[in-house]
Amino acid sequence: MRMDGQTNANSGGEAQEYLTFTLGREEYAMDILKVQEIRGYDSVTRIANSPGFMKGVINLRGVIVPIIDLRIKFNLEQLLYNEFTVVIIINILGRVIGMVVDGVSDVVTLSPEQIKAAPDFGAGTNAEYITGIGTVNKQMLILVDINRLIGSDDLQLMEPTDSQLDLAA
Amino acid sequence: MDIDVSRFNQLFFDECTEHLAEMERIFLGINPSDPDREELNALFRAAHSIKGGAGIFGFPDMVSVTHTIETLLDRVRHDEIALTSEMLNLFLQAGDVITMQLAGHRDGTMVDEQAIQSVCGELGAISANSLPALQPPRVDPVGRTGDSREAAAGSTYRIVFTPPPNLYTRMVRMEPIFADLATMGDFTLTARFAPHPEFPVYDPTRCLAHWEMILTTSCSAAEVVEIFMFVADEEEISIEQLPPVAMTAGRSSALAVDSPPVSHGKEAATTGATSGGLRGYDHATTHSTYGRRREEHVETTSIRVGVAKVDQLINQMGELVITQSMLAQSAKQLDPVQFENFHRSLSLLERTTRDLQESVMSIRMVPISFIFNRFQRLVHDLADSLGKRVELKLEGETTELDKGLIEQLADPLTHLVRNSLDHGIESPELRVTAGKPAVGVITLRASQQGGRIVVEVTDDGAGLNRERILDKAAQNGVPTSDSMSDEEVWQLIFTSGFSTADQVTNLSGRGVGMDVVQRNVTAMGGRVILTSTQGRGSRVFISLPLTLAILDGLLVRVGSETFIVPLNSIIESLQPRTAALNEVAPGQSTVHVRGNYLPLIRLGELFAIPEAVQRPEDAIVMLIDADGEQLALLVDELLGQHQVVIKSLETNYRKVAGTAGATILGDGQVALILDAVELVRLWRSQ
Repeated sequence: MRMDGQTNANSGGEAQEYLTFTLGREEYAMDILKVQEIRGYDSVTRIANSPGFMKGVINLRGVIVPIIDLRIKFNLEQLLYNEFTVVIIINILGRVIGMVVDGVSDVVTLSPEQIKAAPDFGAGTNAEYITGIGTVNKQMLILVDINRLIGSDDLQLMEPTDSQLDLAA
Repeated sequence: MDIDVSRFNQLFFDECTEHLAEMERIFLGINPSDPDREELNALFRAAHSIKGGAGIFGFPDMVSVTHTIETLLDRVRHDEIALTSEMLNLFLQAGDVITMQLAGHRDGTMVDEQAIQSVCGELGAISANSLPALQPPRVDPVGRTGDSREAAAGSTYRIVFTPPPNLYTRMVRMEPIFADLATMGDFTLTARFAPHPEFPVYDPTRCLAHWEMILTTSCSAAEVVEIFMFVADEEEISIEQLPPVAMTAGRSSALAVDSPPVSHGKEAATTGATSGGLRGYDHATTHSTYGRRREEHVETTSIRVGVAKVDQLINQMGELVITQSMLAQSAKQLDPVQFENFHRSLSLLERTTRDLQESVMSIRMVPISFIFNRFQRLVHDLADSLGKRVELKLEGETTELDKGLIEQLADPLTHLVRNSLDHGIESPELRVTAGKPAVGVITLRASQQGGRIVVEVTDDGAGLNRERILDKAAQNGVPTSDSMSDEEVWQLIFTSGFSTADQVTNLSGRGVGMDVVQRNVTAMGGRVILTSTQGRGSRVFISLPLTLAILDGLLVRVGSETFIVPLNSIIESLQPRTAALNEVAPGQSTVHVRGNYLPLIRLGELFAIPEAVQRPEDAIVMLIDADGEQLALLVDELLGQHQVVIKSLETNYRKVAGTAGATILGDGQVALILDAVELVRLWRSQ
């Protein structure tokens, strides 16, 4: 992958690498160390009586992996499932989970001074999963706290008790 | 050469645990008034093996306790002391002490020194008390050995140990052996070396020495030879008793010819190579016969393998099954005539895969006696402490169950057996008053029923008390009513924090128990059913899946989705006629099958599948059995029978209502495996 998003060698603070992806018209970024692989969207096996963003499960080399559509979770319109639709397979909290996004763009390195705190949107939005706003080449990146997102109760990816346990750990 | 034996410790711990279990089993089963000789021998062997192992691995505390047991057992074995039931209890306690020491060495847990002292003291006391009365002084010719204890102190033996050249590479260390011998009496050791070849032919790992020992001791020749049990085969040891005169002569000559007696550990370095050392060493003379060592060397019929390895094998087996069915599916498109050979090979592959799968699965299968046998001891001890008389009956111990399940089953079963003992079985007086035999019976029964294993705990005690349970539930704030059926009342005891015990004992009554039992069993994919008759006893059934990994299922289609229905929950499938269908309430239909009106569960509706067939007449009705209850399940089409590998949905996701997991089909797609009982529960809740 290209590293042209990398900015001037930063001084002080630990710079971190992020994978950037698009949802609708916005660019998001997540910790790249959580990413296991990126693959195309395949047909999924639907899980009955699950929330709308839960697309179902797939067979990833013999392992059953749930797929959530972040676009539905983030209330975006215009859902297309085409050859550009991408699934980011992440490995966090001891689980493997796939997230459907509109596209994966880049890997960027962000130093702490490039990251601004997220504005307070108040409760009830998806703002609680946003750790901050980054800027790379004058473009805004929304930094997503993937642990908090996946572990959150409203995603219902885990049994209620063990999501709390996992988060506490 | 110094070898770190600690890496073999685990092996010793495992073996020791087995020996202890074996000893306990025999102690519990043995009849003190007429003990079986074979069993006594087996006990002695087990104790001796533990002692030997503990010595080699450097656990002197265990050696001393086992030695006490062994000494006493040996005397019982030779009819010098009569076996009593007190003695058996003491032996059991001693077994516990060793188990505790073992745990101490293995896990670093606390060891109760006082208990060790008291058990050893008591065992020693028995041994000492009966000594003069029961031991007739007798001197046996040494040639017969093995059964004689030399009463007269001061027999002198010449022992020659000629090890095989691979002694060192077998990781044998001689120093502890010599140290042991030295503690037995007056001990002189001489190492003799065969002339060793010149370099480079000389191989330092080969043992070219043999040892000649003179031992004056009160121990019998048998005991002397036993020291060598773990290092030597019988033909490598020669032992002869020296007559008093010859003794001095032999000894002095040994001293005269060779370098002075050396302390153990240095013998190889200090003694010179003397070919003359072979003198007096004769294979033909006075061999002590040691068959025992032989027996233990009988071809090993089992090997120890880590569970992780077996699990890996099973996983890979699962993948192979999937690949094989993928292959079979692709092959269907090939012309059977043109590709005749290919199809034949494929069906051969299928058969072999199936056989292989069965064999692999059977590796994990363990007879349930593995845990059943523990209960003999538990019941024996608890009944004693409660002042009750209880007999434990075991049935179907040979039933095999997945090892993983067996281990998880131990806790729930322990709870159930304790409950039966504490709450179920009444005191002997009460039982006699009630017209029952004074000895209560608890039965543990296991059997395979179709694809499930049923484990049953039955007692002939007082049974559950309906009123008391209702009272207690009301106290705990659980909603109750007098119109509840017995089954519903019994269900109450599975709620958390429930206990009707009048007082808290150290066994039960703390309100943890039945809810834990249910939770554990449910976690294993099993179910608990309880039945009880007041005054007659109660019975708990635990029904478990045979294995956790593979299942025979019927592939069904609903709309565009595919599901697996476990074969063992399907009774039959049929296409219903309009006349057989009745709408009882809006959206609630029944199917009339052979006189029964069965509720109809529409899978398409339950799982919100839009394209599902609406008219039952156009679809298929499957009669399913959900824990004894019959229901009708409406699906669009039956696709065929498949053996599927169960994959957990919980690994990366969560439990999905109505399912028992998922599997991967021949085309690589995921299909959910339905669970009849869960499905019915989901249907009722909607």
